[in-house]
Amino acid sequence: MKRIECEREAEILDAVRCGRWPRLAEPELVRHAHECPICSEVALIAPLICEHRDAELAEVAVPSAGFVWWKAELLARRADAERATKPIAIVEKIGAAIGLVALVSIILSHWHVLIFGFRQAWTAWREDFGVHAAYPALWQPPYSSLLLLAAAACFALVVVTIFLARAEE
Amino acid sequence: MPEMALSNSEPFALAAEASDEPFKMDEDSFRAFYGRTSRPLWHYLARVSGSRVLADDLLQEAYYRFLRADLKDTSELYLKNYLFRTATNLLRDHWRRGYRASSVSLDLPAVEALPDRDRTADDVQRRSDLARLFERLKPRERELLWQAYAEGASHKEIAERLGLRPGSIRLMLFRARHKAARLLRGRKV
Repeated sequence: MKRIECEREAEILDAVRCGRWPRLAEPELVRHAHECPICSEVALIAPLICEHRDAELAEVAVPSAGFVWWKAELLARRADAERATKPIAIVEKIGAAIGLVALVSIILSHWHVLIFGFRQAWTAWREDFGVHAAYPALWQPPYSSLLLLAAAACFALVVVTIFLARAEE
Repeated sequence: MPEMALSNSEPFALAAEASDEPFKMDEDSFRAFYGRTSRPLWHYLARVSGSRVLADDLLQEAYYRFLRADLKDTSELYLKNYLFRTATNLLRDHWRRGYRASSVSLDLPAVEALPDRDRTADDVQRRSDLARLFERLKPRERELLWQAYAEGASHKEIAERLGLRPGSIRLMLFRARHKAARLLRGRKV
């Protein structure tokens, strides 16, 4: 079975990271690194990466801790605020959807009545050539209940809009 | 050299439960932890991604996520592993979104930009060797080699930081090192 590690790897890595490799390392360890295929690879790669890291680490310019903290705090508060208002936004959307569905179902369920009423109003208007003549037809039952329903819906919508606007303020 | 001995680590102070602080860690603890970890983390991100700009962005994102996390332990080692794991995941997400991962050291500090005292022929050669080497390694291989040799992390730590199984690190590291050695010796991979 092919060997994939050597028990002396850690010693070489330690010598490299302490800056002892290869001049100040034990001669026996250096000899081993020449003979062992695994340790020879460690002795080739590790100094290259370690020296590069040590040299560059001093040049690295990172943002200040205060800046990172401040920015993270800002993001966190914004995320918290979004999370807090999320249920309200969901309720608003559900309310709008229910309203829309209710409106569509009312229109569909009273479709024949609406068509009949408008047709009657249109006939009356055409016969009299005056808009005022159409109103009495619409005020007759059952059309009057539809008009009242529409007026009530508009009033409720205005009240809800004012309430939401004040709540956001 | 390692950043600090583990025995020097201090658990961070937890913010008061009742306060409206957004993080569990207080600012002083964070400043100290940031001072110990930010440069190695930035260097890791820059070397593995090959971009200073990306390293800057991901560094700040990693600390934000770290601060928001529900950390189960307060030991220095756990926190550092968690931070590197977060940064590694951010890097992988970045690549998953379709950005290139193969090109390395395109905008890392040029040797010419270094102070004169550091610009020895040997230094130039070594930096150039490492840049060429990392260009030809896969991101996972860069991560493994950097954690093992630049950070001096144990196999268990590497597994925690890269989100891999501890049992597979030994073989993966062997393969990455073997490939890197062959590249450095000028053989065809």
